[in-house]
Amino acid sequence: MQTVRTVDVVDCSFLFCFSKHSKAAVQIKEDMKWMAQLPMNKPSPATVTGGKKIFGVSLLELRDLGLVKDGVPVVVRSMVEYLEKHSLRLEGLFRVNGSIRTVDNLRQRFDGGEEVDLHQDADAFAVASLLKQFLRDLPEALIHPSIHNPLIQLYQANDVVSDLRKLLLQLPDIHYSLLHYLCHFLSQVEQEQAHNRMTATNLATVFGPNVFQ
Amino acid sequence: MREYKLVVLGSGGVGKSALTVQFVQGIFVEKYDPTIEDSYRKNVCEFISLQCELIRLLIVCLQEQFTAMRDLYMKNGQGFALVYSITAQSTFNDLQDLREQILRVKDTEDVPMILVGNKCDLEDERVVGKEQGQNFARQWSNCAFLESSAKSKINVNEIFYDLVRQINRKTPVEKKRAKKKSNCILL
Repeated sequence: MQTVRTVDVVDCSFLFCFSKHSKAAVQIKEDMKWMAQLPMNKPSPATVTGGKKIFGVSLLELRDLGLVKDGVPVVVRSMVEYLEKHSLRLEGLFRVNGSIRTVDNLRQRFDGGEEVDLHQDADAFAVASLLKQFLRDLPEALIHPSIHNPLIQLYQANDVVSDLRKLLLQLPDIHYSLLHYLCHFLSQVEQEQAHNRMTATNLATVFGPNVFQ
Repeated sequence: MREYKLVVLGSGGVGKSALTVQFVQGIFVEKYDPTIEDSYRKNVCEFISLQCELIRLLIVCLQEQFTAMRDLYMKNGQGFALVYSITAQSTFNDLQDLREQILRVKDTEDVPMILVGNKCDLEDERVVGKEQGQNFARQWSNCAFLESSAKSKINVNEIFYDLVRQINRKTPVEKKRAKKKSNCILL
């Protein structure tokens, strides 16, 4: 896990395009105030830690349960490896949703401790959706709220690289190592943009909300 | 002026924004930019008994996977376009759940709604048959159904106008000629 630290953090920078690109999209528009009259319904709560669940369990707990290898939860690794192998060129990867039922079924099976063979039981869109769900379900966002504001300020100023690195190092080790792993993978996806049409900005838009909750 | 709140829902990449932008601005967006949510307004004329009445459409495009605000939109929207792409099976299969969710939030079976199979210009890449769409719509207590193409401008306006008509049927425009009150004076 220590080796992780030597990584070029610029890899992560594209995730922050999000704050600029979809500022307009994320905030409720002036003309949509009529929609904001009701209290917000939170999506279904994350699974409780009782038993050996995987989704909705903090990364630290996963590590204590022995479900983290080299700084990356085993379940994440299996999903990423599947996508690397089959789907880097798939149009709309991480944009097109997987079938709700397939995703839910996979999640339950992972939570129930079953051996899941993604090659047999899933398709790429479902696995991509599942990966995003895993990140959304984390009790603490992968990128901790305490560094959101400094990150945005940094992004608005131009000299990003060195300070960004400093800031990201404030994250707990295990958050940092997973973030690094994901950014490395996402940059692979981005390199195939001629095929999958997922540019860095597109990836940031669909992936950002899952790590910045 | 009467305002209609229409909500366009569906999986990522099915062409919700493309349909809406084509309708509102008359252009086809080539770009592959995901929207989280976006809203558009358009004033149009609607003919009610030979009189043109100005109405305003407020259209919200909503990516299905960003769930936090979804119930809110469902609660406040008056008409719903549920969009899939005829070139991707998975975008079609999940609409059943989406419809059920809308009915649940609205707490009624009678919600102005239209099922839309977009990208019908891509006949070569079709995987969802037109009959599949039709059957689906029939099961949804005869929901309206159209195949459309934002690119080739097929059935784009029809989607939104159909929703407006459905809303009008459900909640008719108040008749202008109010009955004269009989002046009954009690002394």
